[in-house]
Amino acid sequence: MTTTHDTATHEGGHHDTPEQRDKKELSALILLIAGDGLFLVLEILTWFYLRALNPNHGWRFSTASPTNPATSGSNNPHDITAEVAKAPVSWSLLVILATLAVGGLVWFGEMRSRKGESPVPALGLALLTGLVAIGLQVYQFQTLPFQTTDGTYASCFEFFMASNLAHQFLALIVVLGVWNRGRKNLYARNWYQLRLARIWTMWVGISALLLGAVSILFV
Amino acid sequence: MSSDHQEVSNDSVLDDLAPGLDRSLHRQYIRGIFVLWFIMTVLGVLAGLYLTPILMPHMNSPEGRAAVKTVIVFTVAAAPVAALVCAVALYSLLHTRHRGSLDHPPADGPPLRGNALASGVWLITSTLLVVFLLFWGLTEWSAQQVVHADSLTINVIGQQWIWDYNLPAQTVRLPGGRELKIPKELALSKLNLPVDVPVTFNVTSKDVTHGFWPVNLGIQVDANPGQRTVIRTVPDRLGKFVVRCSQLCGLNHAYMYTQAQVVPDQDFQAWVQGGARGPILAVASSQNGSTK
Amino acid sequence: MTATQPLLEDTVLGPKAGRLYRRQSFATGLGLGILLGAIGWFIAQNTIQSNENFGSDMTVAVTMAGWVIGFNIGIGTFNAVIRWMLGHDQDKDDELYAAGVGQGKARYWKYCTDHKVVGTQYLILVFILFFVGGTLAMMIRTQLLTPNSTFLSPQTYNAIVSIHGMCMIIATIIMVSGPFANFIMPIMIGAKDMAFPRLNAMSFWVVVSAVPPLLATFFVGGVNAGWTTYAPLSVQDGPAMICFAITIITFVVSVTVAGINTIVTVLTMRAEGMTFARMPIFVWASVIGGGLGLYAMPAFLLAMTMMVADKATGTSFFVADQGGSGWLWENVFWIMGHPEVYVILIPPVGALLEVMSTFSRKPVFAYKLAIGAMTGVAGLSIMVWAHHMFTTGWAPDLAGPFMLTTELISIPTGIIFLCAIGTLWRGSNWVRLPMYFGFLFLWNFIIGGVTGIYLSDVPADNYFHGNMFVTAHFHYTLLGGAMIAATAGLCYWFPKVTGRMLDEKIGKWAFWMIAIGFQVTYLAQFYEGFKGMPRRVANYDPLFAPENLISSLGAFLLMAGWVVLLYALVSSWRHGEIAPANPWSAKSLEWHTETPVPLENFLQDPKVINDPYGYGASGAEQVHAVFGHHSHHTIEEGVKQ
Repeated sequence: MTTTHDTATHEGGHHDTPEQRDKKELSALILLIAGDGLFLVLEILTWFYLRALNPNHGWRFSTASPTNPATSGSNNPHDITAEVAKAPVSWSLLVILATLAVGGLVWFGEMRSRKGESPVPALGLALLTGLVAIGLQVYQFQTLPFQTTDGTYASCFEFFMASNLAHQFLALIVVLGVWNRGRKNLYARNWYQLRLARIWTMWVGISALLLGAVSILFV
Repeated sequence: MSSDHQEVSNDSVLDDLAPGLDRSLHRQYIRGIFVLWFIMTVLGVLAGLYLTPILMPHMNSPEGRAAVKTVIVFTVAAAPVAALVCAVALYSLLHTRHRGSLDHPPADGPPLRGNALASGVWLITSTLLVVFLLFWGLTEWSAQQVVHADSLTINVIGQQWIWDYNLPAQTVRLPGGRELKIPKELALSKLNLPVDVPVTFNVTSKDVTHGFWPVNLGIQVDANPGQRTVIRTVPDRLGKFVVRCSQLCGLNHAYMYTQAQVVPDQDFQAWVQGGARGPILAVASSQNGSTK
Repeated sequence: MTATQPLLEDTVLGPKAGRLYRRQSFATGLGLGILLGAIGWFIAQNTIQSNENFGSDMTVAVTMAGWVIGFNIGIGTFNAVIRWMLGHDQDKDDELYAAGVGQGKARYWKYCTDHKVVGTQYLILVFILFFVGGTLAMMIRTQLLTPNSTFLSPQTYNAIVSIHGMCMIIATIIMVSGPFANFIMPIMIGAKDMAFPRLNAMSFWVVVSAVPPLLATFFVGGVNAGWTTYAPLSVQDGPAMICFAITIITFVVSVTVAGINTIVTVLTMRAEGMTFARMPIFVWASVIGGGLGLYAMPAFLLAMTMMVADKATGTSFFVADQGGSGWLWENVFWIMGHPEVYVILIPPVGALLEVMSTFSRKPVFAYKLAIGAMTGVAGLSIMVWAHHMFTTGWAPDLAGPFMLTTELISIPTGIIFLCAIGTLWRGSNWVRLPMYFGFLFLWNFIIGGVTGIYLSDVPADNYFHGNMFVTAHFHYTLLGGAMIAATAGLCYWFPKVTGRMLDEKIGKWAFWMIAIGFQVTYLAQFYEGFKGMPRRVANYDPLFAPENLISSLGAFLLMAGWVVLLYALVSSWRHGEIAPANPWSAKSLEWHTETPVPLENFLQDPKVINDPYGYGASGAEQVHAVFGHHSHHTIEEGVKQ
């Protein structure tokens, strides 16, 4: 390989130092979280808007809709409110706690890395916790006492869960990446990616908390 | 404002606007732009005053005429600003255009990086204009919010792709002690309105969102499924017009319209009493209001 | 600047440089996209198709998602993520390969990280999208030539109106932020590339993958509900609405990534001495437009995912008789929709001010005020969405506040006009082709702006809403304003992008056809609106016949003008006169590097010492930047060479 080019004048661009990449990627992550946060805020506003309209207490009517072929009109839920009140809350709390734990464990890994210790055990645990959180979320999905077609409350609740699942999945990919890179000892000298992973996973935990809190507390 | 006045008032700021330029050239530039501005402002004002009433149809309600009046007033208010932009652009095309070979750039212009006075005047003027627009809009809008104690209620139901009108049984007291009586509920496919009687439209939809737009009444509101929206007006001129759908509602959106007319209230009363059968007494068609 | 120095793009790479990228191109993307789409379709056919309620919607959703994901795997979007996860980071050879070294013209068909390649790719895509959208517009105007035309069925007409709208919205959003914010903006600030070159390539190829689902709508029933796809009408639509939503969701990813990339580039990649106050106005416009896009896109994503949920899983966000509300759609949509028109408008306005400055040989008038005005427009634009809903019956009490915020926007917009005419004032007006379009912008945008204030007024809007007046108004602002300003920018930067001069003789023919055709088309539509003709109708009352005929004829002239301009662009790109590095004697950095621009843009690092508007100044003040170690080598000398 012959590179006759004077690389001294071309340090930037495609080949940055870790410090430069840290600065860029942190800025990008903050912007991404800002955009994602707006999505979250609008999701919650949607929930409150539909809740304020409150036709039939958030449950579907017995008649079929001419505009939505998915509503057949049959299978109208009986008084479902009582069932809902006891069913999903504890599951939601578990999902939220598990999602928050992922962020906490990545943070722990980052602190260990800063001290010069291996972040791998903490990251491995975070990975497992992330898988558990996704499992819990999917299980909650399957065991809900209502379906997507059961009205606006059900719509919002299931939409929140889906958006949380998407977040958890993105967090899992990040955690899988940093865990594997940690195993290859790539964070021995710089840990900025661990910090970025921590910020993202913690944001995922916070958004799960907000969505969960809204959908549980304001039934 | 005369051009002399313009020069005097601007003499002191000319050095800011064009430093290093001799004063007679200043005057020439300002005068040129002023003349263009004046001509175009006059044209804009005249267009607003005389063209708008020709372009827009005759309206059958105060709300409709308010829309026409708003267009006139806003055009007149915007004319000086628009004319200034055009005048400066046109002057730079006509007078300061580089006329030599276009292959090479001309000499640099003066390094004017801004002018606090020009910016300030512009900012204050546009703010005042906005305050005026807002004041005008809110005045008109609040005048249209008046709810008459007694009005003819008409339920409007939109569905793909027809308008249905439902006239509930009611008695409307008219000014002057007369009464308009609807003895029993009537389902109608055409809209007939008694002149000078306040009307309340309760609008809803059976399927998707439609836009209830009785064109020459100058009001409209969407027909939303599951919601009732209300608009009010007092049709005060006789004439035919069309009710259209102003919100895309699917396949035959284009064909979702019905005939409507404003008729003398005695005719309306007689027609209603007769069970609303047959055509109501035809009245002179208003300009641009007819179809087919 | 010396040409003897070896160029980065002449680097000889190792035989494995680029790894998987070596095998990937548009063809593999297409192949894998079709394959995954087909697999998705097959699986859906055999599992969920049987669901009578939303089986076909689900099938289309899975197929389209398969296409988008497959195309992006095939083109190489996920390579770097996978390699990062595996811990095999790219080395310098891989990066140079990804930047297109040693691939010649083939790099334009690949996942190329060089911002100039991405910019050029975007430019071609924009041409294609405008051509498609324009052709659809011609079909609309052909249908509307006569009152009871049967050229198109109502179904086809609605489908064409919807896709014309969305195609043009996508094209106008990327028409400046794609080609010029990618190609020109990094050079303007003295950067070697964008902050995230791979994300840059991603933002382009993701848009490419979003286009086929948009066109596929025609083959699965057509979108019936216009580009605004108001619910519940759109919920009633067939699976075409799913294709439409997949397009938007994919496009949102692209705009978000591109917006973040632009902002981070400007924050972190500026050359030495390039302070914020010395940045060209176009850089500011790109940042503000990108930031506003970041605000608008989440709402678009939310609206479209809820739409997909309503259609494909039976939720009831927008279905009134099951507890939802069409007003929810309208709110979320316009929370996106109004900032979005300024995402379209602000970058071209920045380009326009560059053009005005260069061809008037004067600094941008009131530079800081112009930045403030663009920021003010962006800030206000997030508070005006409900002016699209004055007549919907949603919250009549908010009519006053939204009238206020909407009319307030005319203050910063007015300042942009002030900056433009202040730049023209006393300038040595050098009327080359970009300037023709600059003047046309002023005229069109004044009309677009003044008609906008009628629509901001609630009583007047109660007449004009939903009629052709609105159509004419937003075509005056977006086509006559933004797109004409973008065309000015295109003619201005054409020599830098293509290395050749644009044929101005043909260009001027095109200009006059566009200018006249445009006025005829849309002034006639204003008249239709005044008379009360509703929008989006396939047939109309014979009452509106004459002005529709005139409008259609004008539209044909307008389209012919664009085709002539396209001919000028293509023929000049292929055989035009070779352009010097700085044909306009402009001062910003993109004109002070070689043409064609070398990889990583500068052979010697620029050091910025003044803003790029030192026209008419004396001494060092007229110099924007000095290069490398030759401190005596100034821009002015570069011009003389």
